[in-house]
Amino acid sequence: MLVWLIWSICVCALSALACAMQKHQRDCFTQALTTKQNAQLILIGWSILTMSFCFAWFEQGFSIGISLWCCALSLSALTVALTLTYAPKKIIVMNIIMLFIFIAQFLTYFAIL
Amino acid sequence: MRLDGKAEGARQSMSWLHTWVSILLGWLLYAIFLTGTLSFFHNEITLWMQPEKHVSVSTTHSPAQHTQIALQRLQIIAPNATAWTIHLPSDRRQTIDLNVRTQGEDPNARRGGKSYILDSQTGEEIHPRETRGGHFLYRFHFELYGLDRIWARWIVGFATLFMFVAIISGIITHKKIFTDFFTFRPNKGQRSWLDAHNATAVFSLPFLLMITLSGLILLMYMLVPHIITQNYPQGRQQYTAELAGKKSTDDPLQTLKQSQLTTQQKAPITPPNQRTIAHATPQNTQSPPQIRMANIPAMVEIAQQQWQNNPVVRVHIISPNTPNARVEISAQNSPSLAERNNIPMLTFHGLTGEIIANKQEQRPSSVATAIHNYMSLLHQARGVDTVLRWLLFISGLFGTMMIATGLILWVVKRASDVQKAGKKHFGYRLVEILNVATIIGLPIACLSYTWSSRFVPVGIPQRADIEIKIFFMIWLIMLIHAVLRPHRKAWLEQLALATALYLFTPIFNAMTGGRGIWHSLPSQQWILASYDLVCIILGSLFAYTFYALKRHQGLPIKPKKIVKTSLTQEQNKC
Repeated sequence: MLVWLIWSICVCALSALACAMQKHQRDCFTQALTTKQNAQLILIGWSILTMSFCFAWFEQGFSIGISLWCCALSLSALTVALTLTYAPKKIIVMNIIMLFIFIAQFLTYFAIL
Repeated sequence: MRLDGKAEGARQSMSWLHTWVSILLGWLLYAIFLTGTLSFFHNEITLWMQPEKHVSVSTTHSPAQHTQIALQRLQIIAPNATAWTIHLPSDRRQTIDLNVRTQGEDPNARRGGKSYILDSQTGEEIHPRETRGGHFLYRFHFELYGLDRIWARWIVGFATLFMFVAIISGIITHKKIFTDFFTFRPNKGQRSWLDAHNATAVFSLPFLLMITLSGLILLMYMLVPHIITQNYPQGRQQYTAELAGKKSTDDPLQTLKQSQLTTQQKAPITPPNQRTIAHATPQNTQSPPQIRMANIPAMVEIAQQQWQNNPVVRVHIISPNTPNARVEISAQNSPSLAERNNIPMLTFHGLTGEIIANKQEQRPSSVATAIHNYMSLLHQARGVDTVLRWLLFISGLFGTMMIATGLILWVVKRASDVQKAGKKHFGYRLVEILNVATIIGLPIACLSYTWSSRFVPVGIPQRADIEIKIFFMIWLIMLIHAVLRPHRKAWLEQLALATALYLFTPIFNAMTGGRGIWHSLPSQQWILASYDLVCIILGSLFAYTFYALKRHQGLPIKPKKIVKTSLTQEQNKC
């Protein structure tokens, strides 16, 4: 389903953006990330968000696509916020799970599976 | 400028505006938001409140088979009608709903006609109990109840405007909207409530902006009527006709009829697979019609093949059993929210089975019209699929939680001052009472309203009004309870009641004639199952809140430093 596809990849994007913030790095990692790593995470995060938006637009048209994307983004933000609050050390594990969900959904959506 | 004459910055001014605009109408906004959010599923709520419909299982038959069942019944009950409308089962409907327009009635009017409800498997007629169902909640969210309709809409319009002001001022007030984007600090008293308020607001910000702005757009005909009257000499009818894409300044009804005539004269469009539609034999036993119509279930199959994942939900037959018979078949979802009345529709000739119109391609709307259509259609969730409807519902819950946390934050922020003063002033106590009675009292009243459909005897006069009275009575009881009980106990007791009621709902449903979740899940009756499941989830949330509040003992008040220093100085002197 398209919404799970967007949700799972937006979780990865928002996790990357959150990990680029110094205040969350203290909770998630044992040491602070370098400036270069921060920049890479920001680039990855915004790129994925932009691509997911374009994908939703392409698949559902602008009016429905933007609505679906915004709502899915809200759910993704909630998922990331809850993870950072209650299990910050599990952020990487959570992202790996999200990637698996994304791949499975992607293959199902395009009827490859 | 502050009351004490000191200068203040833009952010402080906005903070003041945000706080007082929100607290003045917060409870009304909460009620509007909660009932509005529930209205995304008002059909489903009505279905739950009518257990007679629960026996109808729609998953075993195809749309074509459902159409066949409906036609058999229609040929018996109204072979000489002006029009038949068949609403097929879908993910929002379990039964086959029929509407018959008798001679002299407008076949295309939105209201009117005689309705019948059929079991989607057997075709037997169902007589559900009288109820306003979810429609009451839908109407309540923009017309309230018991007030003059115009006055009520003005009140809701002003509240919506205040909400919009509160959102904008809240964005300006929020110092660290990006740095605190994912931040929630639990068990930190006031800080946690502020984080929860910010998080629910920021996460659902696009939805909140859309729903308030579109709410204002929907009420703009009443709030700012002069713009339309100044630009359209013939009034609102002319405006709506232009909005619907008709350039003519004639009477819109006349224009509509003309367009239908034009549609009939159009050259036939060949169906995609060139299927021949065989004639169906009417099953009429009372007054057999003279003319046999083409096979309408086959037309439904053709339409379904064309629209793939967009299910056929409506079959409208104009002048059935006559040489002028016409069959309009409509899908459920709109491919775009920027154009109004854009739901795919195929029109067949009733006798030959030829496709005479295919309404899938429309001329694009202007930017202004597209924005208007998008806002209003999304607000009402018209033409959207189930997934987007659920997402809007969840976003609505976020918005409701945002208002609730804001109202609670007002009390928490002032709790230490009140504790130090040793007594609660009237305003503070009033906010406490209204918070409990609204934030928990209203969900209890809403559930009690749905429960009342099972308690109020079937067949008594004005049954639907009694259910509504029960809703308000329960809400009033919750208010009286909040007045009489200490604040903390009032919260705990109402939370306990809400938990018990919501968690017990699936069992209550099965005990009072409804289809239990253990039956509705295996038979894929998702509407009924999801109602019970949502009640379980909400009940669990109330239970967690009860547990957290029970465990929370309040933060110790730190004595003022000045007092401490003066005491030390006195001790030194001694």
